[in-house]
Amino acid sequence: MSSFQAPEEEELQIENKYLKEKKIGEGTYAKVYRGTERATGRTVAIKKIKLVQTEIGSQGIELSAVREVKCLRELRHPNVIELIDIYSHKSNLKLVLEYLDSDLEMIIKDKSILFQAPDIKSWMLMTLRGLDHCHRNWILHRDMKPNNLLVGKDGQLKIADFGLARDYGDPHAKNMSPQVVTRWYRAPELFFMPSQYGYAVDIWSVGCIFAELLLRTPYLAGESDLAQLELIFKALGTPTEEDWPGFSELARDMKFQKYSRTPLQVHFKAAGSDAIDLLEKMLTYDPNKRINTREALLHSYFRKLPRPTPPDQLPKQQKIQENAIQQNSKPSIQNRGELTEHRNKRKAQEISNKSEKKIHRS
Amino acid sequence: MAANFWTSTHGTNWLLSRQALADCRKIDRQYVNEQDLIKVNIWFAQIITDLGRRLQVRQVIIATAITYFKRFYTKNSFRNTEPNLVAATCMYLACKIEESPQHIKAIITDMKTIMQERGENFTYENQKVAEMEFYLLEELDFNMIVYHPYRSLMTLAQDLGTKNEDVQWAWYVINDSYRTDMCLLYPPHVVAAAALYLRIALRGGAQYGDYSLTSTTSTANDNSVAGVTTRGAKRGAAAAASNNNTNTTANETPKVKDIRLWFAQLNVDLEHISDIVQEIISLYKLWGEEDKQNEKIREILTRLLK
Repeated sequence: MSSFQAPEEEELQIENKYLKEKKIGEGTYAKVYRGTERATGRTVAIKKIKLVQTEIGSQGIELSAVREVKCLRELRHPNVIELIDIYSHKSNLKLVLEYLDSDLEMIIKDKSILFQAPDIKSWMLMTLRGLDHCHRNWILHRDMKPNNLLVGKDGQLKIADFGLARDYGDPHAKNMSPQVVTRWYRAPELFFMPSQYGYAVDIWSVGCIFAELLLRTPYLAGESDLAQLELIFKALGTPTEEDWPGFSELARDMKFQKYSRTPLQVHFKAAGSDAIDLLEKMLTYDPNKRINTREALLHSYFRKLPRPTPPDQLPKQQKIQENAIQQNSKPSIQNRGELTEHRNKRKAQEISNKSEKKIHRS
Repeated sequence: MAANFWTSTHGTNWLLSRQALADCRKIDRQYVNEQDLIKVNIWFAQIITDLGRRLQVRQVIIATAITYFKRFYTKNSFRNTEPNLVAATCMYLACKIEESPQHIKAIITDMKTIMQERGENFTYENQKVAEMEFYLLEELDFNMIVYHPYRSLMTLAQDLGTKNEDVQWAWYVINDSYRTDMCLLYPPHVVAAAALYLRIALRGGAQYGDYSLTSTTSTANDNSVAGVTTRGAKRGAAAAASNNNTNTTANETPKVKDIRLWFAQLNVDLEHISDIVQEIISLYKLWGEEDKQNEKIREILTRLLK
């Protein structure tokens, strides 16, 4: 029985195989170290999971850690982060994950990089392939955003952070929490607190990421939940009963300003008609009519020229995050996030000031 | 069934052959015979089910917890472990995995009650369950997603145009199948097909859709055996089993489907279906005995656990 194993022994096992280099971040449920796999020389992230201790004693392994392991154990795909190893001992759990030093958020924000249409297509293709693999394994990611799409030195994009993910096999699943998905990427149905939602929420997020790749700035950066809805409606038109059957019932306690729909082409001038069509299908109000990963991958956008850029030829950040690694990569990502949030704050504030007047709860 | 069942950890790591399963149980078999071991498995499945009912969790969570328990005991022997602690921990983990986390204290409190009802004590505290969770995860090789027959049942039932009553009945059969080793031996969609088969094909009638006639026959049979058993779908199973000679004339409506043909076209080995059906029928026989022989199981457990 492994519980009789000395803690040092388990530590030794891991140290024989991996060289632990430095702490690169600390989250709510884990400390993350960067390391190298001795045999192959590849860089890995070693995630040390903390146990939840409450006033009444141990609560076992934290839920998001359990979720992450549960999902990653089922998934194996070039566009999904790989869980290489797990070490456990008594109350000690260490995950060894692939380590990638960049992510799509950093790349979008790096204004020294120029995006060409084939580059965007390549990132979209990799994102959708990875997500399709998740969905085909009945796993909902629930937190798709550029920050969670890691990019390796070889240009491969990998979906990471399954701390919110859950499997969606149960036909009687209820009580799904709507408080998922970072607000800017959150599908409209989630704002109306339904306890049941599905794969379509991930697609909406990918639609927002697509738009962000085209615009180089977050597409719908709402300051509050209400402001977010207002932003969505302003951008895509307030949904009618025809756009989204059941909408008036969902929103019966709220009144929204009626915005008419502006064609997406107006806002996304540089995008081709196939790109616009795919974007439109991802940002469809009715979750039942929203395109799924399968259909999206077969969309003419991916079949027509120009071909997507091969991953290793995608534009990269010049100085690969030396400082970011030195000063803890996770916090630096958060700082970047805050910066944009500041930038968008003013804009969002204005909008939400206006929206306060228009949205009345009856 | 999802195409990806076969690439899931369930499909690749956790479907055992009968021989492999027998090998796993060699140590326990030194102390008790095969029949007794089946009874022990029914006993613990019942404990986990009762715990789930008390916690008011969904049936799927109970099924996941029982599957964890059974998987754990393919790598451990009862003799060297504390099955009550394992059972409680399986429920604790299953609740987390199925996104309905329960407080560790709630699990322990309800487990205490359940064991008291059985004249036993559950003396473990938080720390023990939390530690056991780690060990359990390790023994499960961190494979936590379990596929269940319920979803397949819905798909199959829809295709056949099954009546609600029959679906409900098959659902109960699936619940009961967790008292057997079926979840370790067969993929969930085969178990689902077997549950439907037990209800529909064995009830008699070559075609599905001639419902009113068979339904009355079945009810009559139900009554005739009502005194024998009462729990779960047992009554219906007995009826179905005793009823398989009843031949009903086909009612030629367009919705009628040839049952044999339908099952033959399922891309499921009919031998597997009949194997599962046999297992479940013998479960119901044994289960009935176990009801009356609470003393007996206690004697078996003493021998097994020491």
